[in-house]
Amino acid sequence: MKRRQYLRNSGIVGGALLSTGLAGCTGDGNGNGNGNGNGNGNGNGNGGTTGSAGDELADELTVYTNIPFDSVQEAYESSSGVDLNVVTLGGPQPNLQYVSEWEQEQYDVDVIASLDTSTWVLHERDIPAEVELDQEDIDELWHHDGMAEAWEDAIGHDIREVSVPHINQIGSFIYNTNAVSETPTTWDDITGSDWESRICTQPFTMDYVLRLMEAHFDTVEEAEQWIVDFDDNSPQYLSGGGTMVDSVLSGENDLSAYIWGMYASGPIDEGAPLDLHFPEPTGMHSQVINVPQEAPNLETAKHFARWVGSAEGQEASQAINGGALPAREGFGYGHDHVQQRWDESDQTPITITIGREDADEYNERVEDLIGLDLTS
Amino acid sequence: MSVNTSIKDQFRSNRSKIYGGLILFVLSFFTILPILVTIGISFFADGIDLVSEFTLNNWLEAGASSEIIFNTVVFAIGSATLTTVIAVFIAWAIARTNIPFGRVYYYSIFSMIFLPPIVWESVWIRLLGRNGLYTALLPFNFDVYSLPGMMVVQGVFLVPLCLIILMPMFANVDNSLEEASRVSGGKILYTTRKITLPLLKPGILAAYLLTLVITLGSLRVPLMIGQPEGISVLALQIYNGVNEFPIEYGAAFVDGTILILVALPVFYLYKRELGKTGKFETVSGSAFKQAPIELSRGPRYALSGFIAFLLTIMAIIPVVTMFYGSISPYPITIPALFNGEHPGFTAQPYLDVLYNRSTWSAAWNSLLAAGIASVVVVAAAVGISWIVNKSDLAYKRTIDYLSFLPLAMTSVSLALGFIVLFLVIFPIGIYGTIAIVILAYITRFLPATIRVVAPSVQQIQNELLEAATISGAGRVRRVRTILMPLIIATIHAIATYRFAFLFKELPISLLLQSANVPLLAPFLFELGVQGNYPQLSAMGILIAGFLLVVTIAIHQIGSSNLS
Repeated sequence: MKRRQYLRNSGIVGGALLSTGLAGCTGDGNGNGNGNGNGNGNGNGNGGTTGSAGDELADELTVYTNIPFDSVQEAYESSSGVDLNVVTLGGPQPNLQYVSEWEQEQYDVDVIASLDTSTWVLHERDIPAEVELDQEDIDELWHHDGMAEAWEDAIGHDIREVSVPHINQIGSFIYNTNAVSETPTTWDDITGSDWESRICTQPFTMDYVLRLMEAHFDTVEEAEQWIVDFDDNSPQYLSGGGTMVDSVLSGENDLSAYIWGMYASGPIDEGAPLDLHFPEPTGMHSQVINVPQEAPNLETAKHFARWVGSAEGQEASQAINGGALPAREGFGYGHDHVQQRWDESDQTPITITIGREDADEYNERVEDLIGLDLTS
Repeated sequence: MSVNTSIKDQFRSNRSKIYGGLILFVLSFFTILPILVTIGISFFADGIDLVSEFTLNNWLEAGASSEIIFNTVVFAIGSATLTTVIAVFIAWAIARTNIPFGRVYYYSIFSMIFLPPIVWESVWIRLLGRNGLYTALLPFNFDVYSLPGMMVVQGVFLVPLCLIILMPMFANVDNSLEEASRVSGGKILYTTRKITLPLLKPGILAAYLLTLVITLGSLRVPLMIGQPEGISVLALQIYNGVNEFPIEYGAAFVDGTILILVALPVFYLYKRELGKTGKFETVSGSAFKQAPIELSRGPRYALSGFIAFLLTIMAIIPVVTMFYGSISPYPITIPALFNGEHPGFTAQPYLDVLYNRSTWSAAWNSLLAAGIASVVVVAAAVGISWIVNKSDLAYKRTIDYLSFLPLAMTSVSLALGFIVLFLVIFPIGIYGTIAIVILAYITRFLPATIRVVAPSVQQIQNELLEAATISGAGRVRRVRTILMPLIIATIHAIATYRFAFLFKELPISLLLQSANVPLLAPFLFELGVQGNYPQLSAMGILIAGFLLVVTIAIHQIGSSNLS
């Protein structure tokens, strides 16, 4: 028997022992059995922008995400009257943790907002539901050249009706200006011995960095040698973009390699001694919203996904962490300084999207090269 | 004689065995059964399936490596040794000498129990990290992301618990033996070494073993400090096996079983040493007694100064660092405070966490879970202490042993056992709710609560109870008018301590909570993962402040009740 299997099917919560009165704990939406019946009809017609006026919305959605979600949460709650129970996890965990729960037939989560590079684990299991986006929204959200094709190559089919790009993430160097006198501008700069024990990065991004190095160098051997040289500098492998910025600000490390530019926005606004540089080449990834077919509040979850893709939702996304880059056409970074740095880099980022085969191959190669387990 | 009368007579004559048996049955359900299912499932789990076909593969292939078992044992022994050495020294200085400010030191260190997990580890990473204050002051290189680093952080964290256990023992050493030694020309250190410490050896060993078994199942330090550097221990392996993708139940249950097998001998030794300590004291205000060794002015101030130094390193600077972090807009190095690079202080992190609904949701759920569990676990501890020490119920010794058994399971193994127990064997609908968390809290922390309550019950004179019985007082009245007034101070103290501990409990909460019922410690872990150090620090200050207020309030209520 699989863990938690009977849950949600039976709708029994509380049971015979100790449960009386406890199911009403804050945030416990389990008491409604399959969860679909807890809508209170407070849909206020705000679905106009998302094409679902008149839908009866649930009271609350549970969202797994891996990035700060405050601005989106606030705007959506204000717009729809639906509360968001946001659970923030590190790196690829929103997708991975959902899959582990899904395989145990535990369906507590309505929305998964996570990076595209681990989204294949959802599509491989046919977990995401169609969210019924307007064609105009689809066109505007997938406007980057080659973006939809890259996804199709990775996943094996067109997912534009299913996954909603939320914001785009571009890899950068973020460094402490008090500790770094000469800005590193190229990938080769940070393999020098003067950078030993001064860099942090996220383990799972090494997979993408290897791809970038393959684009950067003429041969695979050179690309792999770069990975080895980088690792020889004893970088600290941390989990979470915010953790890396904290590490750079607190003096634990001086530079964070291949971190999304938006992580500099908020701290720079606060006056933190941070700056960033987008090395060439760099990669672009999308944060995407997926709604599991087994979401306990499926229609409300779809409403949320459509709202995030709408102009109103994208404005809220632009404010993430002090200034992020929405996926929709016509939007730039919500932070002038970060946008300026991106403009200065004057490059077209490589769209990196990963499917199972790529993931297996690159994970294995990175592990062979530097002994790093990319699933952590 | 009618059949009914015969049955009633038989019931009366066997009442002791029937009630004793019932209690044994309930205790076994929550203690032995989780151990047995953890061991059993390790032969049946496969990937994400908890119960599949019988297999030895989990044991042959999936379990933890010898390196991880080695790490676990070294981490536990190192941490427990450090904790015990520091706690014994401080307990001796405060309880056996006349140093000034002893009471202040004791309560200051006691207050460390209010500091929440994740925040504590984050603060120590700041202090012992590459540009940390302590790192700068140390005359040698020290890497916090290492086994010794993990030992230091865990070892310091457990000092208050160890001190709480040791203080009453040190305070109640028979003075006459020490005086005899000194009259015979023995100096203070000689007397301490030859008389005091040998007298307390079983108690010290018991405290050491308790911290050892707690550390074996500890998750917070391995999660925050070990994991980034790839240093794993069994508890971390179990957490990853159950919570991280891909789910590996087979490996998790093998690791859970190994952890139980490592902890069981420690538990057995602990219980044995506990038996030798004889008469225990309580964790209450009255446990503190004035020191019998009269040090001269110079040594006593020197000793007091050294304890103050330790207190500063272990508690004051970390708390100041936490506060500093909570009023900074972003993480800032401590030197920045003095070289003009600090951007100015802000209350924004406090506002951010206070206006975050997730904070209140997690806090409310933890308040509920910790509140209910504290009340039930204290009541159960009083009941079991009464049964073991004052009743004529059958199977008393077995009840005593079983009630302590959850100590050997460690929090992560117990959580594993509960998953199977309430999901596969008895699917009564509490899995995925807060009820299973409360049940696990109660089971896991019953032994430590009994450990504190039992001495108070033990000390009640049997003559008082007999007099009440002769006067016609029923069982309930005896409990209400004799037992409760005599142990109320202990109950207040342990209920407060237990609540403070459970309010921020991590391993069980992390393994058993569901996404819809967030709890406080996992919420702190989320903040840690987001790298939101200012908000994390603000949460640390708010939680510690809240628990301090609750403790003082309960203490005041207890005092007014007593008066």
